[in-house]
Amino acid sequence: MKHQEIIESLPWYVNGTLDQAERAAVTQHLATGCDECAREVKSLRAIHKAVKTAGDEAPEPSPFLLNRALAEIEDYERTRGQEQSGQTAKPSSSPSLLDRLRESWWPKTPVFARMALATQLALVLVVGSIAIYQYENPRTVGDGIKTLSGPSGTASGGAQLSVIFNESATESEIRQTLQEIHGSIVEGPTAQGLYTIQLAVPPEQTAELDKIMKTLLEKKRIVRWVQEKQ
Amino acid sequence: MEHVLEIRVLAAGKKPRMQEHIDPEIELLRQIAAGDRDAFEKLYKAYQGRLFRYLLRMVGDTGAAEELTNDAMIAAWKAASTFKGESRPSTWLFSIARNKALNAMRGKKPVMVDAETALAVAASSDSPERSATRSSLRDTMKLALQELSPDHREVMELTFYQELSYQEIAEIMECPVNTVKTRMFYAKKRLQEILEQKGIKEEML
Repeated sequence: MKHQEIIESLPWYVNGTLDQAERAAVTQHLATGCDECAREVKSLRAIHKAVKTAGDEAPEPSPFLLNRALAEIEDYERTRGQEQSGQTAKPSSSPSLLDRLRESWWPKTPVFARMALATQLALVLVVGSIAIYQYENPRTVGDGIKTLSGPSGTASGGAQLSVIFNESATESEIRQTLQEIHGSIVEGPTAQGLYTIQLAVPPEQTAELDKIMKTLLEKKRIVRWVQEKQ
Repeated sequence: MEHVLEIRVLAAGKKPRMQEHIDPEIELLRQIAAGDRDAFEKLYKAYQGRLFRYLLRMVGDTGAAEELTNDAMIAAWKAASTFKGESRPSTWLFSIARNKALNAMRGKKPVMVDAETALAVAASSDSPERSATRSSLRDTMKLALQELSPDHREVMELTFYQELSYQEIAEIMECPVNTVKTRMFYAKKRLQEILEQKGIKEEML
């Protein structure tokens, strides 16, 4: 290999992806004492390190992304199944507002607008649900005493979660999930499919709450979205 | 033995291969093509971070990069049965992600850094003492990378963050191998110019 070929292949010498023969050629060339290539290797190594560090410092993607991807796959497979069986595409149950919105304009909206809208919608969901809840249950917010509980009766002062379940989750899956976290539905679904879950664990027990959030997060085919209700 | 091999080859519909083991990611794609959600989860977890960072570097916006990561992985689910094993699964996935990003960016201005970061870094490079510290050198480098053209930034990202070979990069960027090398050559030259403008000389690296 000539000097020019060598120098052009140095970035991949530095990132360790050259094949054996190329690597040997570069090593041999460097051993001849080519100053220009030696300097180039040095500065490429610095760039390699800096780019790596900059990349590692990048923000982490949301832990809910996979849940959303799996939910979209279920939607896709369901629609495909309906198309293949020759049925007219008819929803199994009345679709939630989110689904109707998503199916009508979501895929046609540019990704930037989609993400901005998604962020806004999420904010509206959270802020809105808290506002509505506060309006309807003025005494329950703050002290956490719930008034709408079922027969199970949860401890007062427990934390509350806002949860959206996946459309494809069955009633028994949701029931099992609730049993597992010792939670019960105290409100919902809202028009957006949002449920309020009452837990026995008080909000101060953050470690315990984190564990519950993690449990929910891992149920990717059941839970689409969860957040602690403030 | 020859017969057995032949039957296997016929069954796979492929040329005979020397290596014994099958790439586990190719196996995952096969399972995904058959509708295996667990296999999808595995592949997703293996690539989420890498694709997200690549897309973030391309589009410069966390939310958009997240959406595109999912768009790419869902596209992979839909297209898994069309994966023929002609390229590595990683190259295939990056190609999908790249096309998603290019579609999303069509008609948009190239990604620029936000003003706040630019000001902060400019302020730090004003003082020679501070710019000599490791953290501001890194900040300056980050900013300089952002100032590269999208093509230059992409080749830097694929080489130095994703650590791909130039052949893989050529496949992802859909261009000849020599174009990748030339692009990298100019990208590096441009990066050095930007760094010098910011008061960082090659020997400081």
